[in-house]
Amino acid sequence: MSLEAAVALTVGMQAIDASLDVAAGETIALLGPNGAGKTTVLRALAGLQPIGQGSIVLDGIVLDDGGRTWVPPERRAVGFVFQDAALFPHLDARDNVAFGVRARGGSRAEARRVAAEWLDRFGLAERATTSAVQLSGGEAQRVALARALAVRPRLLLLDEPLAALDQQVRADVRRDLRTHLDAHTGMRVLVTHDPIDAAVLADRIVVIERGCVVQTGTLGEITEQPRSQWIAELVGTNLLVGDAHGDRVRVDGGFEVVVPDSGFGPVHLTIHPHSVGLAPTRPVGSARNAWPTTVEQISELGGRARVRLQGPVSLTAEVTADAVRDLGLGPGSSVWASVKATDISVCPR
Amino acid sequence: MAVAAVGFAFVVLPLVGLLRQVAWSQLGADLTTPQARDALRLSLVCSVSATVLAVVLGLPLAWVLARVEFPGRRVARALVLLPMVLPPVVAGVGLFYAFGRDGLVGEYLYRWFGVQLTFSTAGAILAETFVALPFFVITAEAALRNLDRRYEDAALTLGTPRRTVVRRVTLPLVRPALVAGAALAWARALGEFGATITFAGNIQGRTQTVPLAVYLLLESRPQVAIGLSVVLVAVSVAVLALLRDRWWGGS
Repeated sequence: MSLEAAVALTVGMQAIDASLDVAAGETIALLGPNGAGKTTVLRALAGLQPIGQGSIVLDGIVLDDGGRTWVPPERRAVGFVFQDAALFPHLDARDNVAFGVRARGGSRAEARRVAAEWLDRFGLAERATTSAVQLSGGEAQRVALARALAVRPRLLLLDEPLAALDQQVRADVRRDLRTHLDAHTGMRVLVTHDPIDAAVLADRIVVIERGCVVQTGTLGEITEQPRSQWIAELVGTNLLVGDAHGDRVRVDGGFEVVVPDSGFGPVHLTIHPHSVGLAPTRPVGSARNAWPTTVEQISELGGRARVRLQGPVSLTAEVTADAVRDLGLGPGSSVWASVKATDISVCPR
Repeated sequence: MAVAAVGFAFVVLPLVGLLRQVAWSQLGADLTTPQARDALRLSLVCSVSATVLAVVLGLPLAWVLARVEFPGRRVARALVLLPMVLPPVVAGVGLFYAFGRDGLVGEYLYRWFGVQLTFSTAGAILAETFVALPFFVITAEAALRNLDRRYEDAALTLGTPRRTVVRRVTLPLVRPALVAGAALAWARALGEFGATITFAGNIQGRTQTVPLAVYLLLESRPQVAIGLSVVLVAVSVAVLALLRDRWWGGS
Protein backbone atom coordinates (compact mmCIF):
# COMPACT_ATOMS: atom_id res chain seq x y z
CA MET A 1 0.00 0.00 0.00
CA SER A 2 2.08 2.82 -1.29
CA LEU A 3 2.64 5.30 -4.05
CA GLU A 4 5.89 5.44 -5.92
CA ALA A 5 6.11 8.17 -8.48
CA ALA A 6 8.86 9.41 -10.75
CA VAL A 7 7.35 12.13 -12.85
CA ALA A 8 9.12 13.76 -15.78
CA LEU A 9 7.33 15.94 -18.25
CA THR A 10 7.43 19.30 -19.93
CA VAL A 11 4.48 21.67 -19.82
CA GLY A 12 4.91 24.69 -22.03
CA MET A 13 8.34 26.08 -21.16
CA GLN A 14 8.67 24.26 -17.86
CA ALA A 15 10.48 20.94 -17.43
CA ILE A 16 9.52 18.91 -14.40
CA ASP A 17 11.48 16.00 -13.00
CA ALA A 18 10.41 14.90 -9.54
CA SER A 19 10.25 11.66 -7.56
CA LEU A 20 8.27 10.94 -4.45
CA ASP A 21 7.16 8.01 -2.35
CA VAL A 22 4.17 7.99 -0.08
CA ALA A 23 3.35 5.24 2.44
CA ALA A 24 -0.15 4.27 3.54
CA GLY A 25 -1.55 6.65 6.12
CA GLU A 26 1.04 9.27 5.33
CA THR A 27 0.56 12.88 4.23
CA ILE A 28 3.23 14.42 2.02
CA ALA A 29 3.37 18.14 1.34
CA LEU A 30 4.86 19.39 -1.91
CA LEU A 31 6.19 22.75 -0.79
CA GLY A 32 7.61 25.35 -3.11
CA PRO A 33 7.21 28.82 -4.57
CA ASN A 34 4.47 29.62 -7.08
CA GLY A 35 5.26 28.26 -10.51
CA ALA A 36 7.59 25.52 -9.21
CA GLY A 37 5.55 22.80 -10.93
CA LYS A 38 3.86 21.38 -7.83
CA THR A 39 0.37 21.39 -9.32
CA THR A 40 1.62 19.74 -12.49
CA VAL A 41 3.02 16.85 -10.44
CA LEU A 42 -0.35 16.51 -8.71
CA ARG A 43 -2.21 16.56 -12.03
CA ALA A 44 0.11 13.84 -13.34
CA LEU A 45 -0.67 11.67 -10.29
CA ALA A 46 -4.39 12.16 -10.94
CA GLY A 47 -4.06 11.30 -14.62
CA LEU A 48 -5.11 14.77 -15.76
CA GLN A 49 -1.68 15.25 -17.32
CA PRO A 50 0.16 12.33 -18.94
CA ILE A 51 3.85 12.12 -18.07
CA GLY A 52 6.67 12.07 -20.59
CA GLN A 53 9.02 9.72 -18.74
CA GLY A 54 9.13 7.89 -15.44
CA SER A 55 6.34 5.94 -13.80
CA ILE A 56 3.51 6.28 -11.37
CA VAL A 57 2.77 3.12 -9.38
CA LEU A 58 -0.10 3.03 -6.91
CA ASP A 59 -0.48 -0.09 -4.73
CA GLY A 60 1.63 -2.04 -7.19
CA ILE A 61 -0.48 -1.04 -10.20
CA VAL A 62 1.23 0.98 -12.93
CA LEU A 63 -0.95 4.00 -13.67
CA ASP A 64 1.40 5.72 -16.10
CA ASP A 65 4.79 4.74 -17.50
CA GLY A 66 5.12 7.58 -19.96
CA GLY A 67 4.36 5.26 -22.84
CA ARG A 68 2.11 2.28 -23.34
CA THR A 69 0.36 2.29 -19.98
CA TRP A 70 -1.88 5.17 -19.04
CA VAL A 71 -4.85 4.66 -16.76
CA PRO A 72 -7.33 7.51 -17.34
CA PRO A 73 -8.30 9.63 -14.32
CA GLU A 74 -11.82 8.20 -14.12
CA ARG A 75 -10.37 4.72 -13.55
CA ARG A 76 -7.81 5.69 -10.88
CA ALA A 77 -8.68 5.39 -7.21
CA VAL A 78 -7.56 8.95 -6.75
CA GLY A 79 -9.41 11.91 -5.23
CA PHE A 80 -8.59 15.50 -6.15
CA VAL A 81 -9.38 18.62 -4.14
CA PHE A 82 -8.92 21.66 -6.37
CA GLN A 83 -7.75 25.11 -5.44
CA ASP A 84 -10.86 27.33 -4.98
CA ALA A 85 -12.83 24.07 -4.45
CA ALA A 86 -14.15 23.94 -8.07
CA LEU A 87 -17.56 22.72 -6.90
CA PHE A 88 -20.06 22.11 -9.70
CA PRO A 89 -21.81 25.49 -9.78
CA HIS A 90 -25.08 24.07 -11.13
CA LEU A 91 -25.55 21.68 -8.20
CA ASP A 92 -26.18 22.10 -4.48
CA ALA A 93 -23.78 20.98 -1.75
CA ARG A 94 -25.40 17.54 -1.39
CA ASP A 95 -25.43 16.75 -5.11
CA ASN A 96 -21.79 17.83 -5.34
CA VAL A 97 -20.85 15.27 -2.70
CA ALA A 98 -23.21 12.67 -4.20
CA PHE A 99 -21.77 13.16 -7.70
CA GLY A 100 -18.97 10.61 -7.43
CA VAL A 101 -21.13 7.93 -5.84
CA ARG A 102 -23.69 8.35 -8.64
CA ALA A 103 -20.96 8.32 -11.28
CA ARG A 104 -19.63 5.04 -9.92
CA GLY A 105 -23.01 3.38 -10.36
CA GLY A 106 -24.68 4.10 -7.03
CA SER A 107 -28.42 4.73 -7.01
CA ARG A 108 -29.69 8.25 -6.45
CA ALA A 109 -30.99 7.29 -2.99
CA GLU A 110 -27.70 5.70 -1.97
CA ALA A 111 -25.69 8.64 -3.29
CA ARG A 112 -27.82 11.10 -1.33
CA ARG A 113 -27.51 9.01 1.82
CA VAL A 114 -23.72 8.87 1.55
CA ALA A 115 -23.60 12.61 0.79
CA ALA A 116 -25.76 13.41 3.81
CA GLU A 117 -23.41 11.37 6.02
CA TRP A 118 -20.36 13.23 4.76
CA LEU A 119 -21.94 16.65 5.07
CA ASP A 120 -22.96 15.75 8.61
CA ARG A 121 -19.41 14.72 9.44
CA PHE A 122 -18.19 18.09 8.16
CA GLY A 123 -20.81 20.01 10.15
CA LEU A 124 -22.57 21.09 6.97
CA ALA A 125 -25.83 19.14 7.30
CA GLU A 126 -28.05 22.21 7.14
CA ARG A 127 -26.22 23.55 4.05
CA ALA A 128 -27.09 20.40 2.04
CA THR A 129 -29.53 22.09 -0.32
CA THR A 130 -27.56 25.33 -0.63
CA SER A 131 -26.35 26.02 -4.15
CA ALA A 132 -22.60 25.56 -4.50
CA VAL A 133 -22.13 29.18 -5.59
CA GLN A 134 -23.73 30.44 -2.39
CA LEU A 135 -21.43 28.58 0.01
CA SER A 136 -18.74 30.57 1.81
CA GLY A 137 -15.10 29.90 0.93
CA GLY A 138 -14.56 27.73 3.99
CA GLU A 139 -17.76 25.78 3.43
CA ALA A 140 -16.97 25.26 -0.25
CA GLN A 141 -13.54 23.90 0.61
CA ARG A 142 -15.01 21.44 3.10
CA VAL A 143 -17.67 20.33 0.59
CA ALA A 144 -14.87 19.83 -1.97
CA LEU A 145 -13.01 17.62 0.51
CA ALA A 146 -16.19 15.69 1.31
CA ARG A 147 -16.85 15.25 -2.42
CA ALA A 148 -13.38 13.78 -2.94
CA LEU A 149 -13.51 11.55 0.15
CA ALA A 150 -17.04 10.23 -0.53
CA VAL A 151 -15.70 7.85 -3.21
CA ARG A 152 -13.09 6.52 -0.76
CA PRO A 153 -9.95 7.18 -2.85
CA ARG A 154 -6.74 5.30 -2.05
CA LEU A 155 -4.79 8.43 -2.85
CA LEU A 156 -6.08 11.89 -1.98
CA LEU A 157 -4.55 14.88 -3.75
CA LEU A 158 -5.06 18.42 -2.48
CA ASP A 159 -4.02 21.44 -4.53
CA GLU A 160 -3.49 24.52 -2.34
CA PRO A 161 -6.63 23.66 -0.37
CA LEU A 162 -6.32 26.71 1.89
CA ALA A 163 -4.92 29.32 -0.50
CA ALA A 164 -8.30 30.85 -1.38
CA LEU A 165 -9.35 31.39 2.24
CA ASP A 166 -8.83 34.48 4.36
CA GLN A 167 -6.64 34.27 7.45
CA GLN A 168 -9.21 33.58 10.19
CA VAL A 169 -11.16 30.93 8.25
CA ARG A 170 -7.88 29.48 7.13
CA ALA A 171 -6.77 28.55 10.65
CA ASP A 172 -10.13 26.84 11.35
CA VAL A 173 -10.23 24.94 8.07
CA ARG A 174 -6.59 23.93 8.47
CA ARG A 175 -7.30 22.36 11.87
CA ASP A 176 -10.41 20.57 10.53
CA LEU A 177 -8.50 19.43 7.50
CA ARG A 178 -5.84 17.79 9.66
CA THR A 179 -8.54 15.85 11.52
CA HIS A 180 -10.17 14.67 8.30
CA LEU A 181 -6.87 13.77 6.70
CA ASP A 182 -5.98 11.66 9.72
CA ALA A 183 -9.32 9.84 9.39
CA HIS A 184 -8.55 8.93 5.79
CA THR A 185 -6.76 5.58 5.65
CA GLY A 186 -5.07 6.00 2.29
CA MET A 187 -2.23 8.23 1.14
CA ARG A 188 -2.35 12.00 0.86
CA VAL A 189 -0.32 14.41 -1.25
CA LEU A 190 -0.81 18.10 -0.61
CA VAL A 191 0.48 21.03 -2.61
CA THR A 192 1.17 24.30 -0.81
CA HIS A 193 3.44 27.32 -0.86
CA ASP A 194 2.80 27.96 2.84
CA PRO A 195 5.23 26.24 5.27
CA ILE A 196 2.64 26.50 8.04
CA ASP A 197 0.12 24.49 6.01
CA ALA A 198 2.85 21.98 5.29
CA ALA A 199 3.91 21.77 8.94
CA VAL A 200 0.39 21.34 10.31
CA LEU A 201 -0.99 19.02 7.65
CA ALA A 202 1.89 16.86 6.49
CA ASP A 203 4.11 14.18 8.00
CA ARG A 204 6.86 14.80 5.51
CA ILE A 205 7.73 17.72 3.24
CA VAL A 206 9.10 17.58 -0.28
CA VAL A 207 10.51 20.91 -1.39
CA ILE A 208 10.12 21.57 -5.12
CA GLU A 209 11.77 24.40 -6.97
CA ARG A 210 11.85 24.96 -10.73
CA GLY A 211 10.36 21.53 -11.34
CA CYS A 212 12.89 19.58 -9.24
CA VAL A 213 12.86 18.09 -5.76
CA VAL A 214 15.53 19.97 -3.79
CA GLN A 215 14.96 18.55 -0.32
CA THR A 216 12.86 16.04 1.61
CA GLY A 217 12.33 15.87 5.34
CA THR A 218 10.34 17.15 8.28
CA LEU A 219 9.82 20.88 8.63
CA GLY A 220 12.46 20.92 11.40
CA GLU A 221 15.05 19.25 9.20
CA ILE A 222 14.28 21.53 6.29
CA THR A 223 14.41 24.80 8.19
CA GLU A 224 17.54 23.80 10.10
CA GLN A 225 19.54 23.08 7.00
CA PRO A 226 17.73 24.57 4.02
CA ARG A 227 18.95 23.47 0.62
CA SER A 228 17.24 26.16 -1.35
CA GLN A 229 17.33 29.93 -1.40
CA TRP A 230 13.54 30.02 -1.23
CA ILE A 231 13.32 28.05 2.01
CA ALA A 232 16.30 29.90 3.49
CA GLU A 233 14.68 33.26 2.85
CA LEU A 234 11.41 31.94 4.12
CA VAL A 235 12.88 30.93 7.47
CA GLY A 236 15.26 33.89 7.55
CA THR A 237 18.51 31.95 7.26
CA ASN A 238 21.41 32.87 5.00
CA LEU A 239 22.17 30.20 2.46
CA LEU A 240 25.34 30.24 0.38
CA VAL A 241 26.27 27.81 -2.35
CA GLY A 242 29.94 27.07 -2.99
CA ASP A 243 32.80 24.61 -3.43
CA ALA A 244 34.85 23.51 -0.45
CA HIS A 245 38.63 23.24 -0.52
CA GLY A 246 39.73 22.22 2.99
CA ASP A 247 38.78 25.01 5.38
CA ARG A 248 37.90 27.41 2.58
CA VAL A 249 34.72 27.55 0.56
CA ARG A 250 34.67 29.47 -2.66
CA VAL A 251 31.14 30.83 -3.02
CA ASP A 252 29.35 32.23 -6.05
CA GLY A 253 31.16 35.37 -7.14
CA GLY A 254 34.58 33.93 -6.33
CA PHE A 255 34.75 35.12 -2.75
CA GLU A 256 36.26 32.80 -0.14
CA VAL A 257 34.67 32.00 3.20
CA VAL A 258 36.65 30.41 6.04
CA VAL A 259 34.85 27.45 7.62
CA PRO A 260 35.75 25.05 10.43
CA ASP A 261 35.10 21.76 8.66
CA SER A 262 37.51 20.54 6.12
CA GLY A 263 36.22 18.83 3.03
CA PHE A 264 36.08 19.06 -0.71
CA GLY A 265 33.35 19.43 -3.27
CA PRO A 266 30.08 21.26 -3.63
CA VAL A 267 28.51 22.40 -0.34
CA HIS A 268 25.75 24.49 1.19
CA LEU A 269 26.69 27.00 3.88
CA THR A 270 24.07 28.23 6.32
CA ILE A 271 24.67 31.23 8.55
CA HIS A 272 22.08 32.30 11.09
CA PRO A 273 21.43 36.05 10.97
CA HIS A 274 22.19 36.46 14.69
CA SER A 275 25.69 35.09 14.02
CA VAL A 276 26.51 38.02 11.75
CA GLY A 277 28.32 40.84 13.59
CA LEU A 278 28.35 44.45 12.38
CA ALA A 279 31.16 46.99 12.95
CA PRO A 280 32.02 50.47 11.60
CA THR A 281 35.59 49.44 10.69
CA ARG A 282 37.34 46.19 9.87
CA PRO A 283 36.95 44.17 13.08
CA VAL A 284 40.06 42.86 14.84
CA GLY A 285 39.28 39.75 16.81
CA SER A 286 38.43 36.09 16.49
CA ALA A 287 36.05 36.33 13.52
CA ARG A 288 37.74 34.66 10.55
CA ASN A 289 35.41 36.23 8.01
CA ALA A 290 34.92 39.96 7.53
CA TRP A 291 33.91 41.93 4.48
CA PRO A 292 32.71 45.45 3.71
CA THR A 293 29.04 45.73 2.83
CA THR A 294 26.34 48.27 2.08
CA VAL A 295 23.02 48.31 3.93
CA GLU A 296 20.18 47.62 1.54
CA GLN A 297 17.21 47.49 3.87
CA ILE A 298 16.46 47.51 7.61
CA SER A 299 13.29 46.07 9.14
CA GLU A 300 12.66 46.41 12.87
CA LEU A 301 10.45 44.20 14.95
CA GLY A 302 10.27 44.66 18.71
CA GLY A 303 13.79 45.37 19.93
CA ARG A 304 15.37 43.51 17.00
CA ALA A 305 16.39 44.64 13.56
CA ARG A 306 17.01 42.57 10.45
CA VAL A 307 19.61 44.24 8.27
CA ARG A 308 19.88 43.19 4.64
CA LEU A 309 23.46 43.63 3.41
CA GLN A 310 24.82 43.84 -0.13
CA GLY A 311 28.47 43.03 -0.64
CA PRO A 312 30.82 40.37 -1.98
CA VAL A 313 28.59 38.03 0.00
CA SER A 314 24.99 39.15 0.52
CA LEU A 315 23.71 38.39 4.01
CA THR A 316 20.98 39.22 6.45
CA ALA A 317 22.16 40.19 9.95
CA GLU A 318 19.99 40.25 13.02
CA VAL A 319 21.08 42.75 15.69
CA THR A 320 19.36 44.84 18.35
CA ALA A 321 17.58 48.02 17.34
CA ASP A 322 19.92 49.89 19.68
CA ALA A 323 22.94 48.63 17.76
CA VAL A 324 21.47 49.95 14.51
CA ARG A 325 21.12 53.40 16.12
CA ASP A 326 24.60 53.35 17.73
CA LEU A 327 26.17 52.44 14.38
CA GLY A 328 24.07 55.09 12.64
CA LEU A 329 22.88 52.60 10.01
CA GLY A 330 20.37 53.37 7.29
CA PRO A 331 19.87 52.24 3.72
CA GLY A 332 23.06 52.97 1.79
CA SER A 333 25.44 53.18 4.75
CA SER A 334 28.66 51.19 4.77
CA VAL A 335 29.37 48.63 7.46
CA TRP A 336 31.70 45.69 8.02
CA ALA A 337 30.06 42.31 8.49
CA SER A 338 31.85 39.49 10.30
CA VAL A 339 31.09 35.83 10.93
CA LYS A 340 33.05 33.38 13.06
CA ALA A 341 34.02 30.30 11.11
CA THR A 342 32.46 28.15 13.83
CA ASP A 343 29.07 29.81 13.28
CA ILE A 344 28.94 28.55 9.71
CA SER A 345 27.50 25.12 9.13
CA VAL A 346 28.55 23.23 6.06
CA CYS A 347 26.77 20.37 4.41
CA PRO A 348 27.55 18.65 1.14
CA ARG A 349 25.04 19.19 -1.62
CA MET B 1 -23.67 64.31 -28.45
CA ALA B 2 -25.25 65.65 -31.64
CA VAL B 3 -23.62 62.96 -33.77
CA ALA B 4 -24.68 60.32 -31.27
CA ALA B 5 -28.25 61.60 -31.48
CA VAL B 6 -28.14 61.39 -35.27
CA GLY B 7 -26.79 57.85 -35.00
CA PHE B 8 -29.53 56.86 -32.59
CA ALA B 9 -32.22 58.46 -34.74
CA PHE B 10 -30.84 56.65 -37.76
CA VAL B 11 -31.36 53.33 -35.99
CA VAL B 12 -34.80 54.14 -34.63
CA LEU B 13 -36.43 56.08 -37.50
CA PRO B 14 -37.03 53.11 -39.85
CA LEU B 15 -38.78 51.35 -37.00
CA VAL B 16 -40.98 54.38 -36.32
CA GLY B 17 -41.67 54.74 -40.01
CA LEU B 18 -42.79 51.14 -40.22
CA LEU B 19 -44.97 51.26 -37.13
CA ARG B 20 -46.66 54.49 -38.34
CA GLN B 21 -47.88 52.69 -41.45
CA VAL B 22 -49.51 49.82 -39.58
CA ALA B 23 -53.29 49.67 -39.83
CA TRP B 24 -53.70 48.16 -36.36
CA SER B 25 -57.44 47.52 -36.71
CA GLN B 26 -56.79 45.62 -39.94
CA LEU B 27 -53.79 43.70 -38.63
CA GLY B 28 -55.75 40.57 -37.71
CA ALA B 29 -57.39 40.37 -41.10
CA ASP B 30 -54.15 41.13 -42.97
CA LEU B 31 -52.26 38.37 -41.17
CA THR B 32 -54.94 35.78 -41.85
CA THR B 33 -54.98 36.23 -45.63
CA PRO B 34 -54.03 32.90 -47.23
CA GLN B 35 -50.69 34.19 -48.48
CA ALA B 36 -49.75 35.63 -45.07
CA ARG B 37 -50.85 32.49 -43.24
CA ASP B 38 -48.88 30.27 -45.61
CA ALA B 39 -45.81 32.46 -45.15
CA LEU B 40 -46.09 32.52 -41.37
CA ARG B 41 -46.62 28.76 -41.13
CA LEU B 42 -43.75 28.07 -43.52
CA SER B 43 -41.41 30.49 -41.74
CA LEU B 44 -42.14 28.81 -38.42
CA VAL B 45 -41.54 25.32 -39.82
CA CYS B 46 -38.39 26.30 -41.72
CA SER B 47 -36.78 28.44 -39.01
CA VAL B 48 -37.40 25.89 -36.25
CA SER B 49 -36.13 23.03 -38.44
CA ALA B 50 -33.09 25.10 -39.40
CA THR B 51 -32.39 25.86 -35.74
CA VAL B 52 -32.64 22.19 -34.80
CA LEU B 53 -30.28 21.30 -37.66
CA ALA B 54 -27.89 24.09 -36.67
CA VAL B 55 -27.77 22.73 -33.10
CA VAL B 56 -27.43 19.08 -34.14
CA LEU B 57 -24.65 19.82 -36.64
CA GLY B 58 -23.21 22.82 -34.82
CA LEU B 59 -22.62 21.38 -31.37
CA PRO B 60 -20.17 18.64 -32.46
CA LEU B 61 -18.54 21.16 -34.78
CA ALA B 62 -18.17 23.72 -31.99
CA TRP B 63 -16.79 20.97 -29.73
CA VAL B 64 -14.10 19.96 -32.21
CA LEU B 65 -13.15 23.59 -32.93
CA ALA B 66 -12.96 24.39 -29.21
CA ARG B 67 -11.39 21.25 -27.83
CA VAL B 68 -9.50 19.26 -30.46
CA GLU B 69 -6.05 20.38 -31.58
CA PHE B 70 -5.54 19.74 -35.28
CA PRO B 71 -3.54 21.43 -38.02
CA GLY B 72 -5.56 24.03 -39.86
CA ARG B 73 -7.94 24.61 -36.97
CA ARG B 74 -7.82 28.37 -37.43
CA VAL B 75 -8.63 28.02 -41.11
CA ALA B 76 -11.47 25.62 -40.32
CA ARG B 77 -12.87 28.06 -37.77
CA ALA B 78 -12.73 30.91 -40.28
CA LEU B 79 -14.46 28.79 -42.94
CA VAL B 80 -17.26 27.84 -40.57
CA LEU B 81 -17.85 31.51 -39.76
CA LEU B 82 -17.75 32.58 -43.41
CA PRO B 83 -21.55 32.42 -43.96
CA MET B 84 -21.88 35.21 -41.37
CA VAL B 85 -20.17 37.69 -43.67
CA LEU B 86 -20.86 36.10 -47.05
CA PRO B 87 -23.56 37.92 -49.10
CA PRO B 88 -26.61 35.63 -48.78
CA VAL B 89 -27.21 35.70 -52.53
CA VAL B 90 -23.74 34.25 -53.03
CA ALA B 91 -24.56 31.63 -50.43
CA GLY B 92 -27.66 30.78 -52.46
CA VAL B 93 -25.61 30.42 -55.63
CA GLY B 94 -23.13 28.22 -53.79
CA LEU B 95 -25.91 26.06 -52.40
CA PHE B 96 -27.35 25.77 -55.91
CA TYR B 97 -24.13 24.40 -57.33
CA ALA B 98 -23.64 22.07 -54.34
CA PHE B 99 -27.14 20.74 -53.69
CA GLY B 100 -29.02 21.74 -56.84
CA ARG B 101 -30.05 19.07 -59.35
CA ASP B 102 -26.79 19.46 -61.27
CA GLY B 103 -24.74 20.26 -58.17
CA LEU B 104 -21.76 18.56 -56.62
CA VAL B 105 -23.86 16.46 -54.25
CA GLY B 106 -27.31 17.30 -55.54
CA GLU B 107 -26.78 15.35 -58.75
CA TYR B 108 -26.35 12.11 -56.82
CA LEU B 109 -29.13 12.94 -54.37
CA TYR B 110 -31.44 13.23 -57.37
CA ARG B 111 -30.07 10.28 -59.33
CA TRP B 112 -29.91 7.81 -56.43
CA PHE B 113 -32.71 8.92 -54.13
CA GLY B 114 -34.86 11.10 -56.36
CA VAL B 115 -34.38 13.95 -53.93
CA GLN B 116 -34.57 17.45 -55.34
CA LEU B 117 -33.82 20.25 -52.88
CA THR B 118 -34.22 23.27 -55.15
CA PHE B 119 -37.72 24.78 -55.09
CA SER B 120 -38.68 22.63 -52.09
CA THR B 121 -39.34 23.37 -48.43
CA ALA B 122 -36.30 21.21 -47.60
CA GLY B 123 -34.27 23.57 -49.77
CA ALA B 124 -35.55 26.59 -47.86
CA ILE B 125 -34.60 24.85 -44.60
CA LEU B 126 -31.16 24.07 -46.00
CA ALA B 127 -30.59 27.69 -47.02
CA GLU B 128 -31.64 28.96 -43.60
CA THR B 129 -29.47 26.39 -41.84
CA PHE B 130 -26.47 27.46 -43.89
CA VAL B 131 -26.69 31.09 -42.80
CA ALA B 132 -27.81 30.33 -39.22
CA LEU B 133 -25.21 27.66 -38.35
CA PRO B 134 -22.27 30.01 -37.67
CA PHE B 135 -24.28 32.03 -35.16
CA PHE B 136 -24.80 28.92 -33.07
CA VAL B 137 -21.27 27.57 -33.60
CA ILE B 138 -19.51 30.80 -32.62
CA THR B 139 -21.52 31.11 -29.41
CA ALA B 140 -21.21 27.45 -28.43
CA GLU B 141 -17.53 27.31 -29.29
CA ALA B 142 -16.71 30.36 -27.17
CA ALA B 143 -18.57 28.87 -24.22
CA LEU B 144 -16.83 25.50 -24.56
CA ARG B 145 -13.44 27.14 -24.91
CA ASN B 146 -13.91 29.44 -21.92
CA LEU B 147 -15.40 26.82 -19.62
CA ASP B 148 -13.15 26.21 -16.61
CA ARG B 149 -11.78 22.75 -17.37
CA ARG B 150 -11.43 21.96 -13.68
CA TYR B 151 -15.15 21.15 -13.48
CA GLU B 152 -14.69 18.39 -16.01
CA ASP B 153 -11.40 17.35 -14.38
CA ALA B 154 -13.18 17.16 -11.03
CA ALA B 155 -15.89 14.94 -12.50
CA LEU B 156 -13.25 12.66 -14.06
CA THR B 157 -11.34 12.24 -10.80
CA LEU B 158 -14.64 11.29 -9.16
CA GLY B 159 -14.75 8.31 -11.51
CA THR B 160 -17.24 9.67 -14.02
CA PRO B 161 -17.13 8.11 -17.51
CA ARG B 162 -16.35 10.71 -20.19
CA ARG B 163 -19.80 10.62 -21.81
CA THR B 164 -21.41 11.17 -18.44
CA VAL B 165 -19.09 14.14 -17.81
CA VAL B 166 -20.35 15.72 -21.03
CA ARG B 167 -23.96 15.05 -20.14
CA ARG B 168 -23.89 15.98 -16.47
CA VAL B 169 -21.21 18.68 -16.28
CA THR B 170 -20.19 20.22 -19.61
CA LEU B 171 -23.60 20.64 -21.25
CA PRO B 172 -25.41 21.93 -18.15
CA LEU B 173 -22.65 24.49 -17.61
CA VAL B 174 -22.70 25.81 -21.18
CA ARG B 175 -26.49 25.58 -21.52
CA PRO B 176 -27.12 29.35 -21.24
CA ALA B 177 -24.72 29.92 -24.13
CA LEU B 178 -26.33 27.13 -26.16
CA VAL B 179 -29.77 28.70 -25.64
CA ALA B 180 -28.43 32.11 -26.64
CA GLY B 181 -26.70 30.66 -29.71
CA ALA B 182 -29.87 28.81 -30.74
CA ALA B 183 -31.92 32.00 -30.33
CA LEU B 184 -29.47 33.93 -32.50
CA ALA B 185 -29.49 31.19 -35.11
CA TRP B 186 -33.28 31.09 -35.08
CA ALA B 187 -33.58 34.86 -35.50
CA ARG B 188 -31.13 34.75 -38.39
CA ALA B 189 -32.97 31.84 -40.02
CA LEU B 190 -36.30 33.62 -39.65
CA GLY B 191 -35.03 36.70 -41.44
CA GLU B 192 -33.25 34.79 -44.19
CA PHE B 193 -33.98 36.16 -47.67
CA GLY B 194 -31.14 36.12 -50.18
CA ALA B 195 -29.99 32.52 -49.96
CA THR B 196 -33.54 31.20 -49.78
CA ILE B 197 -34.84 33.07 -52.83
CA THR B 198 -31.73 32.20 -54.83
CA PHE B 199 -31.59 28.53 -53.93
CA ALA B 200 -35.17 27.56 -53.11
CA GLY B 201 -37.16 30.10 -55.10
CA ASN B 202 -40.30 32.00 -54.13
CA ILE B 203 -43.22 29.58 -54.22
CA GLN B 204 -46.18 30.31 -51.98
CA GLY B 205 -46.76 27.58 -49.40
CA ARG B 206 -43.53 25.79 -50.31
CA THR B 207 -40.57 28.18 -50.13
CA GLN B 208 -42.15 31.59 -49.66
CA THR B 209 -41.19 32.45 -46.10
CA VAL B 210 -42.26 35.71 -44.40
CA PRO B 211 -39.35 37.87 -45.69
CA LEU B 212 -39.98 36.66 -49.24
CA ALA B 213 -43.68 37.35 -48.90
CA VAL B 214 -42.98 40.84 -47.55
CA TYR B 215 -40.79 41.59 -50.55
CA LEU B 216 -43.37 40.30 -53.02
CA LEU B 217 -46.43 41.86 -51.39
CA LEU B 218 -44.95 45.32 -50.81
CA GLU B 219 -46.04 46.26 -54.35
CA SER B 220 -49.41 44.52 -54.57
CA ARG B 221 -50.71 44.47 -50.99
CA PRO B 222 -48.56 46.76 -48.83
CA GLN B 223 -50.77 46.42 -45.74
CA VAL B 224 -50.14 42.65 -45.58
CA ALA B 225 -46.41 43.20 -46.12
CA ILE B 226 -46.36 45.75 -43.30
CA GLY B 227 -48.32 43.43 -41.01
CA LEU B 228 -45.84 40.61 -41.62
CA SER B 229 -42.97 43.04 -40.99
CA VAL B 230 -44.46 43.93 -37.64
CA VAL B 231 -44.49 40.25 -36.72
CA LEU B 232 -40.76 40.03 -37.53
CA VAL B 233 -40.08 43.16 -35.45
CA ALA B 234 -41.96 41.64 -32.51
CA VAL B 235 -39.96 38.42 -32.81
CA SER B 236 -36.67 40.35 -32.93
CA VAL B 237 -37.60 42.26 -29.80
CA ALA B 238 -38.51 38.97 -28.09
CA VAL B 239 -35.10 37.47 -28.98
CA LEU B 240 -33.35 40.54 -27.62
CA ALA B 241 -35.33 40.19 -24.40
CA LEU B 242 -34.36 36.52 -24.17
CA LEU B 243 -30.69 37.45 -24.54
CA ARG B 244 -30.92 40.38 -22.17
CA ASP B 245 -29.13 38.73 -19.25
CA ARG B 246 -26.34 37.73 -21.53
CA TRP B 247 -25.71 41.01 -23.29
CA TRP B 248 -27.33 43.77 -21.39
CA GLY B 249 -25.59 42.57 -18.28
CA GLY B 250 -28.19 43.99 -15.88
CA SER B 251 -27.41 47.60 -16.77
